[in-house]
Amino acid sequence: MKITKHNYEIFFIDYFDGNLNESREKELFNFLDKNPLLKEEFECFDNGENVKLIPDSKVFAKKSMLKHNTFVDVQEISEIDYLMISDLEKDIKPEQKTQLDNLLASNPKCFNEYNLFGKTKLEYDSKIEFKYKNRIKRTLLPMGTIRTTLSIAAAATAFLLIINQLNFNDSLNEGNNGRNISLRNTNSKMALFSQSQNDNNSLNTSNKYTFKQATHKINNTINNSVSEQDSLNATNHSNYQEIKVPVKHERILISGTENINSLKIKNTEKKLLQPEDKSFISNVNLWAIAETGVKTWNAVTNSDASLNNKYNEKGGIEKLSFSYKGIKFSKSFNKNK
Amino acid sequence: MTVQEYNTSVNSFSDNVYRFILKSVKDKDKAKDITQDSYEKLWINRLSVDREKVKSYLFSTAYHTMIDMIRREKKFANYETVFEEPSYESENCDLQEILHSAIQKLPEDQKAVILLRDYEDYSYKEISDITKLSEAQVKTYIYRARIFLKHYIGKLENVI
Repeated sequence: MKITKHNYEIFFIDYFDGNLNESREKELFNFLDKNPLLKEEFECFDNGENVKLIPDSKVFAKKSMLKHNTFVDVQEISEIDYLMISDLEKDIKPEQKTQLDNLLASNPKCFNEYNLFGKTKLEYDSKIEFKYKNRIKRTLLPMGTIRTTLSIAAAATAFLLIINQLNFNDSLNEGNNGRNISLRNTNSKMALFSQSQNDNNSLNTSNKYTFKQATHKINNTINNSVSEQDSLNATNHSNYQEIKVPVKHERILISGTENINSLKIKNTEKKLLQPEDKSFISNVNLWAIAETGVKTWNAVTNSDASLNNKYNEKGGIEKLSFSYKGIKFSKSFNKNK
Repeated sequence: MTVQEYNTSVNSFSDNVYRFILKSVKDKDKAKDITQDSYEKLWINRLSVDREKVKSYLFSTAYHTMIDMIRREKKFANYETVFEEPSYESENCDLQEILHSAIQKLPEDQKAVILLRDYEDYSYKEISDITKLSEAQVKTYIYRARIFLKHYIGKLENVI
């Protein structure tokens, strides 16, 4: 922008503000040499007395009214309250403490207020206790204790399993009298009810289907084909009649001399059903399982549990014993069996 | 944090946490639940919690659980500008009882910070860490609470 009579004021102000570079300043002075009247005006600017404002020396007397406390930005807290609370909170500066002391000394009303603030300190009620500490406490057993506990538990489980199995064998030897009904489901989706009445000879000998036979049959047929089932059905065919029941893909054969109501499941003696289920277990050598279990635990836990048995002349178990770290269990069985 | 240290913290701080919450919510069952929750969270995070800061962790957890519960139940009431006339009975003039009834009239934030300050003697910084409020806010709340309590017991003294 070139300096003209229309814009020279801008250049004057920029010059006095120090915003003109050297070439512009030279340009300005050349312009003033060509315009003497404007040069007089420029010199008036240069004196500065007429155009510069001198700062007023007056001060605002109520600065303290506008000030805020360091942290507390609360209009309702007066300076006196602030000092008192600061003292109570042990958050007071030395000069503030002096100011507060002077106030308290000179004004009894302030002293009462100060005392009131002192009373606002809460004290906890020591009667209030949490009564459920034991509920939230935790206990962890040492590793050695866990191993010992697990060893004993495993050995005891094996022991009880064997005892239970032996009791089951005892119950088999006792035989079954009375009206026995067995039920089984086979792979061919057939349900067979067979009735045996030892005390009632309404059925001939070939039709007696005792619990032992049933057990044996189940064991043999568990993996066999349907044809074996059919042969069994054929054997007793003359005494059974086939009926349809509302069970999907199932047939029931019942004795021709009995009506359907007498063969309801509710009439089945529970005692007979239990051994039949357990008979599946009889095929497995529980003794071997128990021995293996104890040996495994001995190896894993480095313990010395032992499981021993004693056979009688007939080959039956006469006595069974289990020992672990000085603890011994034993059970004797009827020698006649 | 070991099991033993955890159990020690139960013995040392459970009363304090329970007391703090009970005074805030005025409900024993809720105070019990919140205390149990806090310890449950401590147990879950026991590996990451610095054992030097267990107490702060418990108070912080309890405080935030309590605030969440209050907000959930929409019982949060703002008494910030309410200066009710104190009620008193002749047999209930024990100063601490009066104060404890007075703090129930404080807003939740003020109540919590004043309880932490007076009961547990926590610094502004510690209360700030527990409540996640700024130090300035903590100090402001404490000062406001003091003013309110002074006003409350001052009126009672005048009446008596």
